[in-house]
Amino acid sequence: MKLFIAWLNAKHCPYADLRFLIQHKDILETILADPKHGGYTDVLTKKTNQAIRNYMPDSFKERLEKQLVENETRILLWKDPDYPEGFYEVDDPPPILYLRGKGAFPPQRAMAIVGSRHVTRYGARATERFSSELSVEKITIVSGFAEGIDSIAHRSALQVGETIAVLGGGIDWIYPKSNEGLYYDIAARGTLVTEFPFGEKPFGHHFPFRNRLISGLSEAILFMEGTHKSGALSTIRHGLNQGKEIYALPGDIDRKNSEGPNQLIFDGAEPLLGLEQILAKSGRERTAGETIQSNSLSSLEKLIYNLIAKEPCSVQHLHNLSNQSIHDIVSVLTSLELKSLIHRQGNQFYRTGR
Amino acid sequence: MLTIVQTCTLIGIDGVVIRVEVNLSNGLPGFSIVGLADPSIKEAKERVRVCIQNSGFSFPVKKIVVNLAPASIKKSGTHFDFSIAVGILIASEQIEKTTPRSEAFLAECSLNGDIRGVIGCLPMVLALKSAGVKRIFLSEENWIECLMVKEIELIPVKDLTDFVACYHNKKETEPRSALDKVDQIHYSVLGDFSDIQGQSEAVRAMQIAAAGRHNALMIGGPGVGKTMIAKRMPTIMPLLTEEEQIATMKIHSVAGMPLETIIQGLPPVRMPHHTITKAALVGGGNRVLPGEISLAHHGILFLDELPEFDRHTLELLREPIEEHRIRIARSAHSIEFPSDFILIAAMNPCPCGNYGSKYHPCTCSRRERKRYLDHISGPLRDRLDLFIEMEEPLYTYEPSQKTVTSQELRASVLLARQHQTERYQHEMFHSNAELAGGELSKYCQLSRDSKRLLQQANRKLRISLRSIVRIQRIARTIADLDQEDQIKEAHLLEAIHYKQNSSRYWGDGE
Repeated sequence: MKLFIAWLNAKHCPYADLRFLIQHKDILETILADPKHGGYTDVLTKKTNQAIRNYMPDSFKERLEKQLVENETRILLWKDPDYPEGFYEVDDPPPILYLRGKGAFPPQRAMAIVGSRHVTRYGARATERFSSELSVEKITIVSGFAEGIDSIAHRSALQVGETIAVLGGGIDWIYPKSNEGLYYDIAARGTLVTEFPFGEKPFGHHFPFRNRLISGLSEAILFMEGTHKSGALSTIRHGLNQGKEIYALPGDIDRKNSEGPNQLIFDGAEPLLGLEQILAKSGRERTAGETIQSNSLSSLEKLIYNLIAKEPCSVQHLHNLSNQSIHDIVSVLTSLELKSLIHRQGNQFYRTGR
Repeated sequence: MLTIVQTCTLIGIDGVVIRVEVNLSNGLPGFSIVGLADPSIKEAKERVRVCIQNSGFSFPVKKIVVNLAPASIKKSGTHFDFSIAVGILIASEQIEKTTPRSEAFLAECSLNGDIRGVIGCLPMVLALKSAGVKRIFLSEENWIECLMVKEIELIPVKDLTDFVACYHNKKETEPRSALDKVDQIHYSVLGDFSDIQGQSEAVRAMQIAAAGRHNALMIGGPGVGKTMIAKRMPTIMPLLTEEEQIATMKIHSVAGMPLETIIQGLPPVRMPHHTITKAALVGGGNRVLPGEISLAHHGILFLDELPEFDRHTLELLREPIEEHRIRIARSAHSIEFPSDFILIAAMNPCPCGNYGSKYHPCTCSRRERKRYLDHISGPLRDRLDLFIEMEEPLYTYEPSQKTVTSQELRASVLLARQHQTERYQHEMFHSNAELAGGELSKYCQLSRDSKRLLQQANRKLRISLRSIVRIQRIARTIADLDQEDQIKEAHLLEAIHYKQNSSRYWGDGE
């Protein structure tokens, strides 16, 4: 049955037909017993009837079985016990899912981190931070496997926990190519999932479509970066329709990549301020964390730390603010870094989030 | 009648004394030059003939044969003109013969009788001096560059008539007053470090680089002041010693480069464009000439847009950085040029230049960035000690008050260099950048706390063991700048800061 549904899926039959067939097993069995009979025109579309009459050639069956083995892929149907609850809520739920990877599916708790392919360091840093902090809280990070924010979210999540990548093409298409390493990393420790059949090219129109699955899997969506035209905004739209919590990372108003999230905040999304806030919304507290032993710092260290705590600073900026010599500042910065109180991104120093 | 006069030719940057034998005999009038002379010497025939005639002398109507001995060495250059002309004048008894063994002639003749300068004069003067020559006639332009050479009489001549007057001691030669003119140093021409707004971190790193002769890489977007900083490097470096000056001038002289700043004692700065060929960078060519790395000897080699350089060209730098010299081998012989320079490189953080910028999003993909960074191989990165990431300065109405002048920076650099010279006086090397292996542990002794600090850095900041060696060297220089004999923790912490940047850009794979 799974293989037959996969055949119809490969023939691009409408999802509604497939869901109907899965629901009405008796009809499906009749069809399987006598495919040439035909005549379900009252419930199924012409396209599906055509595909049923042609029946599944053996060559397709063999190839599919081989592909499933080669790509370590398993098939999940609508109404299967493992079929994610959230997908019943999305528009036109996918009747069939192709899964690859050793991670748990469906995830216990998941949140999506989305954003543009072009990133600024600010966006990259925030993505890393939230992705790994949420992973520590045993929340699976869902994203779209694109370059930029998506990849960073997947990578940082894998370092701590699990991640789910929702692909925009067949499971055998590694796209973008530059993420090949990440693909196998996720296959080893996370899950790759797609609704598209084997060999389906990652066409442009697939991406906004599959975005409904990203939001469907997640209880909240974190929008990190993107212009007001960003494709990630379609995930947000789906999320709103599905009634998910939306967070947007506030950014500088003159930063092009922060246009999207800032506008979203203006429109009523939650500004993404910290992990506690996200957890509080879902009635939890963070588990990990340590306190600063500020009494162990020298006076200069305290001075510099406090300046950085106010706003991220570069060495030059600290030099201007503090009136200290460059070499003193630089030594103190390294020492604070060794104490994990601050960290560095580019030429800016940031207080380590806690 | 046979006459022998002396001149010189260049092999690499060293002169070889050449005897010019001129014979006039009866027979069919003619003029031939033998002795492996290249076209520039063959052409001397015409220049010499017209020059003699236009200076009011007569060109002998005889069979003239000129032999350049030793005849087995290939010779080139226009400086043979003068000696051939003098040889003909003596052989035709138009001027008196004096003491040929102790005289030499180095200049080019022009058709109106003027004596012109040639390239590579200084190394030839030095070679002639060591061969025992007492008196050298040369052009006025070359005279200035050779004034450094002591205990030899250098006689500048304007034209052939002037020469004959000097030769017969009818004219007083000027005293060496010209030296005073170039004696003052014009730092202002080069600019000053106080011109640089913001970028105090980079300025500090440059001070460390100058003090310990460390190689440095500046990473920053367009317009942050990388080139400005590199251009000002000579103003914070100690002046060249006389020995260094002669070594550097020899190379510049051979390459036909202007020598004014070096005569003033300022270290050279070379800034080759990134389209440079291999031969132009390390030296080579038909007549083997020194390349940019040798022209930067005792000075600065500044490579802007480092990843834009051809990768194979960059790899050629590895050996000279270690050995401080380059050997160019040809089937017949090999030539060695010194190349002891401080490498200052600059690059954008990514192809579009905006990666890491606070306000402009970077439009490069991860792969594009990786490919850009991969142009700089691990071994080359390994030879760079200081990595500085620069941020774009924002325009402010009031210029920032906190700028340091070159003079202030230079004062501590000088002291730090002095420390090193004293410390390494019994060693083969003379700067912290060359510390390695046994010497490193000998001269960079660390306290227990400092060792623990490095251990922490290794674990927490993921700094490789290899980089730790470099960190110790930089810390040694920072301690020298502070006039400290013992490396303190603060010095190590600062050194870690400058090295850490590299691992953030290239991962810990180095």
